[in-house]
Amino acid sequence: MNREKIIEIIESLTNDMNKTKASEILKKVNEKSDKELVMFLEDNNIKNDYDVRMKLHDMLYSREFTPLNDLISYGRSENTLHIHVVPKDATFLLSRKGFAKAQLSLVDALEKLKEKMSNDPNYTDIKNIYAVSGLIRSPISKWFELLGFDVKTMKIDDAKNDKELSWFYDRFKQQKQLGRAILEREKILSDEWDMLKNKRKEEIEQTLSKNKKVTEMVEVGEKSISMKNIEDIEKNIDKQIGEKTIKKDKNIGGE
Amino acid sequence: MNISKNIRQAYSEVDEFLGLLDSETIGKIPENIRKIFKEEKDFEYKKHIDINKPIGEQNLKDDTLAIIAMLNLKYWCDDEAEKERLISVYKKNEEIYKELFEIEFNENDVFGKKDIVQQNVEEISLLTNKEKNSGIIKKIINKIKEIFIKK
Repeated sequence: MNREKIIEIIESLTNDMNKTKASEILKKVNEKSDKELVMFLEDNNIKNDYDVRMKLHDMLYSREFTPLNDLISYGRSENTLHIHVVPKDATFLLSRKGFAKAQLSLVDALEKLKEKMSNDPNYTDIKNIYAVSGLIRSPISKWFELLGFDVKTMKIDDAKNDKELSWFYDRFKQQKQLGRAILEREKILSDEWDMLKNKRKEEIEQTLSKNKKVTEMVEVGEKSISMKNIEDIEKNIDKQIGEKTIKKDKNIGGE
Repeated sequence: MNISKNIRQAYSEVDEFLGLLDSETIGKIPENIRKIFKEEKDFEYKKHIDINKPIGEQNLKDDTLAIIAMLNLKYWCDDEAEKERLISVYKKNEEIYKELFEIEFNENDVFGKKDIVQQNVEEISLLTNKEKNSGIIKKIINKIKEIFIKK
């Protein structure tokens, strides 16, 4: 991790709302000597890109949204709770976490919001949970559907003229697709939703347990596999693919 | 290209293992590579990988483990730090192999002399006195036994 990389990450997380805070952080980073910067990273247990992004995210977005977990935060506007995947860094975080774990984070966030809506007097007037994002498109839109959300997705050009989504057009015009998902209060507070959510959780956990086998397999391999084994295998597979392609081309040529 | 029986059997194990994974994970591997496992595997060989049993107890082939290690490095592992750690482990294993094979095994002395084999096995165990390297030790011990049995 170096100064250039940190600056690059700060810039990627900067928006109109947090640009003052971002420039303060940039100034502090630039004021530190290389040695001081290394010590700062060590003291704060920051080892890689991910740690830097998470730390900066907390610093730059904490005033806008309340985090529910490491992936999802929420805000409130009148009678609606709007949920967000960490802005700007969503794709990075999703690929880092993997889809199954990200879905568990969504379930976890909804459980927490349900708890608030059920017990906190400040949330009795909340009518729905709302998400709008360029990420709400296939396959991610399915995650919301399976958790009882009503989902609407469309191409960004169509969103421009859509009665509901045209509000968001300017914010998302760089995206190809735009989607929104709504979960009504009545639905999330019902027992049926709990059943739906538990079923979904079980399915995701099954997927995760299958993927644990990859980790286990890699761990077993660590005891005996050498880099040469891996390189030899890769070369052989590449060769076999090459031969298959030549064979296929010859067959096409012969037809 | 001639593909050895061992590799074909490893392809069978890998193909079976991939069948246990979810479609998102499998989808990260290019189709032409998946095709190789599917089409070039040993169709007679059935490993029956048990998802409920620890992988370490299922005696999978080293080539299978190497293929999975390769797939993990190239397509599954998104964490650069973890990738670096794995590469250094695999490189370290390679160094250990080299080191062990450099120990002079004078075949004329080894053949017929069980105590020398035992002594060498002990030396190897001392050299790699870590649970982590038990796989390597096993491999080397088998190699020595192979030499011994040949005689």
